[in-house]
Amino acid sequence: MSDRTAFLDRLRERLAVPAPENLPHPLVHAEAVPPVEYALDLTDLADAFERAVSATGAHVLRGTAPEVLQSVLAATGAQRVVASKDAPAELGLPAYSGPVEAEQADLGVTGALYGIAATGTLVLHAGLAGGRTASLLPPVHLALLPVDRLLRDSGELFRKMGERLPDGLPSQLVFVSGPSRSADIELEVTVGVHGPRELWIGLVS
Amino acid sequence: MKNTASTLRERSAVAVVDEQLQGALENATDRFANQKAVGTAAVANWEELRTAARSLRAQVLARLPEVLEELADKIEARGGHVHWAADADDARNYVLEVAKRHDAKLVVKSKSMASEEIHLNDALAASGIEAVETDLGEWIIQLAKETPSHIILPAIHKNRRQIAEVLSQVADGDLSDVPAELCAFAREQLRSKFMQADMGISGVNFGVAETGSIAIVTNEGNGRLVTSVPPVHVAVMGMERVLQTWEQFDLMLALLPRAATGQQITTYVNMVSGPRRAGEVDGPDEFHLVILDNGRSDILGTEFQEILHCIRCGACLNVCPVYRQIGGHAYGWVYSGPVGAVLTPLLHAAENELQNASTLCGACWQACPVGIPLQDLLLGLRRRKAESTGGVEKLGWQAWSTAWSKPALYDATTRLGGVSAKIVPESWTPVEWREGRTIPRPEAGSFRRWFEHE
Repeated sequence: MSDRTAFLDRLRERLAVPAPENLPHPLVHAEAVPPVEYALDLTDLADAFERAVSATGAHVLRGTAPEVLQSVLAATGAQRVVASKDAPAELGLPAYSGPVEAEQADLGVTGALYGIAATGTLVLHAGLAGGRTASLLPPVHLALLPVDRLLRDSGELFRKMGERLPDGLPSQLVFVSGPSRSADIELEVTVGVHGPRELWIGLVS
Repeated sequence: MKNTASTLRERSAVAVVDEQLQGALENATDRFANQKAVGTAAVANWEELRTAARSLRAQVLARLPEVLEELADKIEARGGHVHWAADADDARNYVLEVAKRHDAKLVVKSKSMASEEIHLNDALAASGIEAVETDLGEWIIQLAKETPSHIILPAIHKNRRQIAEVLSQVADGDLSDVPAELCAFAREQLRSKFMQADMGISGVNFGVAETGSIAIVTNEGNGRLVTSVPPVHVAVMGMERVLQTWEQFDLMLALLPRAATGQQITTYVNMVSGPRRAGEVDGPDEFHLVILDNGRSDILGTEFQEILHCIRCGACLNVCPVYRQIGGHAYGWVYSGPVGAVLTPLLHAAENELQNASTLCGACWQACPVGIPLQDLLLGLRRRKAESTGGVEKLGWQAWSTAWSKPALYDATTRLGGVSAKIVPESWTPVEWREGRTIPRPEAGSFRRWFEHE
């Protein structure tokens, strides 16, 4: 606690006299945070979401949860499947037990709390999922997102937190936009460095 | 090639003749600068956001003690721990203490420039703890025993063959230089580290005070793994990297990825609020946030305070004519490019020439998503240095200034200058003035004198 007091006292001391104004380029005061205006066609959220998701290199399927799961199993040949607590109950998949189990799986199946159309983003909630690694450790991730949970843009979440997350922030909230990628080697984009190399999103009604 | 020469001028001289570095820098900075234009086109009110961001960062800094207190209180309310580190030593000791308490032997790290600033990896190694960087570029340079040469692409100065050589050090044979294969190797190697690590150390892109949260953005997923698998998570955050509200974060999230790489959003945005909770089968049992001062408070209240607005996007590097020629290593420290040229002399007093690594073109200011007037700060640093320099140079400037403030003296000295130019040999002029050009010879008199007599 004494570390904290000394630390903050130092800041207060330094801030006691405000920094000199930059006269050639004065600061223009902003009273409020302006919302981000996207130059995107967001009239049909599902279509916009699908376009944005495809741009990230992920796949979108529409249908019922069991149909989507079948398609993904066929496309990927996955044998060992783990699921998080928020995967649709109708799939009958037991919730995974921890990272060791997730690490050994070929496919992780999860739900998603929201989808964000402007950027093709999934919003994953660790409390609802009962954990963090079902969507992260297996090489393929399938997220089942109800189409009525699509939001226009991230502002619809961040500017309305009370409404969108009535119980507050979970231990971890993650935005996922596409498969894991890196361009660290000569700027050549490679997928699947560390996180999943394939991302499938089932837009379910 | 390692650039270990001691002055900015010497390091730059090494960098500009390194053809591979030159090619890599041109390629990367062009690509990012072009992609940024595409990325920002998706935002209709980019300039409005930049202007607002500058003001909002200033508003947060003006209330920094209250904002940090709110962040800390809310983290502690969730059972997290907050350590207030006055300097690098303090921060290192705390992290070591946490590691020792958990008998940690292996630590995985996701990108944290603050942790490089305080030489955390060296301190861990000295205590017998293996600390593995997991960001692919950072892992490559860690194995190569080098420092990062770009904020976003730490290994940009290496080509695929060099990277293959570096990674082959930890492989069972020589690796091919195909990026996809090198990445597959990295995935496999680092995956086992993630699974076995005793502790994860991350940086923080933004702390968000209103809910006691930290946000980490990555494309690879290592930021999620480091904060999800090991039983302990320690986050290191420069004290100025905070926001008050999620509304402000939404604004920063619109700016940061687009300015950095032109992406609409990074693959992952990881928002952590304390350790795991009941009913969760994974996630760390302990969460620690280290809030780092290490000289930042000295910048508060000065004309340089705005450098603390920086969100570490790297956009200024990509447009800087100087950075594009000399690369990150020439700056001699963790932060390079225009932001490094301002921040390094302020935090690391030994490096006090970096403000000269600039043409004052202002491209950095134009590129900066939060509108930091970097060229004003560079000028301020130069002025500060000139004011503190004494000796012959100062007398010389004063003499010149006096001479040219009086018309009669101006007239006399220019005539004298013209005459003496004919007798003073060129080799008496400073060598830097002569490199690559012929010194023009002054005329015998002033233009006005010639005009009056013609």
